Amino acid sequence: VIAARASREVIETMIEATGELDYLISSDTCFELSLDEQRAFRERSVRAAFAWHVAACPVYRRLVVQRGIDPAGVASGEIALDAVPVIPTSAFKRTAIRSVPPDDVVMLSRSSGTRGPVSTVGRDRTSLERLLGSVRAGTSLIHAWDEDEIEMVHLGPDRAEAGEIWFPYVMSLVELLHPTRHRLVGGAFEVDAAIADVRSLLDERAHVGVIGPPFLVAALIQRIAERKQAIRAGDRLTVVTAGGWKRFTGEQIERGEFEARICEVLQLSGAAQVRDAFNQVELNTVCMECRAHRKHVPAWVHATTREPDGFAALPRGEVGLLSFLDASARSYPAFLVTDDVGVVEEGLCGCGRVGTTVAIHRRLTTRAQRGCALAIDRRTAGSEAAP
Amino acid sequence: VKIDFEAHRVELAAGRHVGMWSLRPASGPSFATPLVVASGFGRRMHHAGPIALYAAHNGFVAHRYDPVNHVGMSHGEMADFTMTDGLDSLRAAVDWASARSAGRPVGVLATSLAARVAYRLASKSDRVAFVVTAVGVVHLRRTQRFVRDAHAAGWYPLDHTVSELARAPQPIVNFLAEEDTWVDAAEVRDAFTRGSSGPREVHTLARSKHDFARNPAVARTFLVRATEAAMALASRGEATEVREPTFDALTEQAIFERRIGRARPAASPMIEGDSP
Repeated sequence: VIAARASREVIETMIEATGELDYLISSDTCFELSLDEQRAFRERSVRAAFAWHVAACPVYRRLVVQRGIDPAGVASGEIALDAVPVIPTSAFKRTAIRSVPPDDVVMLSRSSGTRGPVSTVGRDRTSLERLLGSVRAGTSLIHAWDEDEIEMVHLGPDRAEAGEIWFPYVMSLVELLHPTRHRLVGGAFEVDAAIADVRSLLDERAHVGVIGPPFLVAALIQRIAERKQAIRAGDRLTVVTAGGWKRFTGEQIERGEFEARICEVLQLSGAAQVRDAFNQVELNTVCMECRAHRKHVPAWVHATTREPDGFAALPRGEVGLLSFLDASARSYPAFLVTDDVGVVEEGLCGCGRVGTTVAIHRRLTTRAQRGCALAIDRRTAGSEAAP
Repeated sequence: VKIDFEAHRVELAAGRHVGMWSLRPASGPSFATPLVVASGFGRRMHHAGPIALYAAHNGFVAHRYDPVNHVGMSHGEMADFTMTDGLDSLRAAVDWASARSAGRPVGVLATSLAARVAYRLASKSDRVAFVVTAVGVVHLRRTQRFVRDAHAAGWYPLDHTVSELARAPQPIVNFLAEEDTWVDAAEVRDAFTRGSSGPREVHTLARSKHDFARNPAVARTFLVRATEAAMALASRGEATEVREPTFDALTEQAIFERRIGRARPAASPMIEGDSP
């Protein structure tokens, strides 16, 4: 309670209910801020998150000390955000990194690796609610659908079956926002049932959403094409992919061909109806594509690229390891350098918004690959169609 | 805390019915006063799931309903909705809940437009023990101009709300949103001050908007405070700490209820033929 008074017999109080971070995440306008507003918000929210994690997370505090960073310098703004120490995402495979007591962790999420150790990230309720807020905010880049205006066909398991595996879990939560049918049941992809869903929902609903990992969307499209039963979805269906761009065989799915094939088989009105989203288990924010197919980074995340050795920050537009300072994670420091190679840019996007966008070129698996792939990427930067 | 879910159908006059859901602690309620939770205009029972679950986790039997001629599981179509339909539905839900609790008065938790209905019912029914509202509308003309019977049935003017509040001796608590574009806080203060025939509280959630649920931080503050208010009113002022349901419990309940709503009526575990 921040104020209280009584008039006649009415007791009145003013109650503090939200900070500015939750306020922005839940607003309708987080992608409509000016560049200056975004930068100012990023400075405040990331520095506040840094102070929280330095105080609450012993692992991160040790890293800050090792790097010789003075927390007071970060708090005052003397130290640039690019100099804030980042944790390699691989550290989450071997260390419990927490900023809250274990009892506050309500979701222990794991990456979906099939061999070797997997990342484990503990999230509290606040972090999960902010993650969901980022999904809602990102969805506004596509369309602000009312709850029942769209029904989802999710090419993945429901929440119970998804368990702790991060990507399926996050995607299953779309059911909290819109009516959803899940078509990975008991580990089996019900492709024919998914096709039947799409057909019937096009008759019943104003709009249909198909969401899933690229390889299952590819399988769905292939089956529809094989059956030679046209689906004329026009402008009433949107496909959203999230997850890795490889098939089970390890073969890379090429984004441009993939998108064209979806448009052709579903007879969509345009490629803007196919969007991809970026996230990984260690990141607490989902970055959604706009209609220009650029992944927008909201104002509570500082994104940059870094050198593979020493993690020095690179100028905007330069290919490097993607790195994020995500202020939305409360239960662990989401101050990360990832194994993904890509580019971060800032300015006016083709969709008409201003802000930060990120493009992901590929994921690396070994240290040797990092140097090699970066060299290749830099030679080909600008000519590559990144997913 | 294990919570049991039940679905009911409550019959009204003229062949109409109200769909109701109940959440109750499996080990039995610790408060004798049951709650009836009324969703806002255009919202369905599942939208009020979190407040019902918070209430049940803290020892209440919490009933929800969809009004007639409204979206949801009750009789009729939204295009025919009147404020009097809202009043008839809330009265039916309160009478039914009271009858199932040995005739005890009922606490009403109502949101937005349903709050206006709750204030009128409180002025007319001794089955209402107390009222806790979220963004409670006191001046319908400012908020909702197109309700069919609003003028004829006296729902529009602020002064009618004031006179009804003045005839309601029950405790009434209203949680307001500081940045509400639908509800004018000054009018609420005016109505509650002039209509203070019983204990009245107005709490404003700073930097919040009309839809508390949109910002989880605001929603959580409201859920804790509203549950706390209901507990205090049901126990005549005894302070008790609110136990929050887990994120998992809230998510599980939300998904379960959305699936029932989507599958209606065939898959709904409905208990047929209950009447007030």
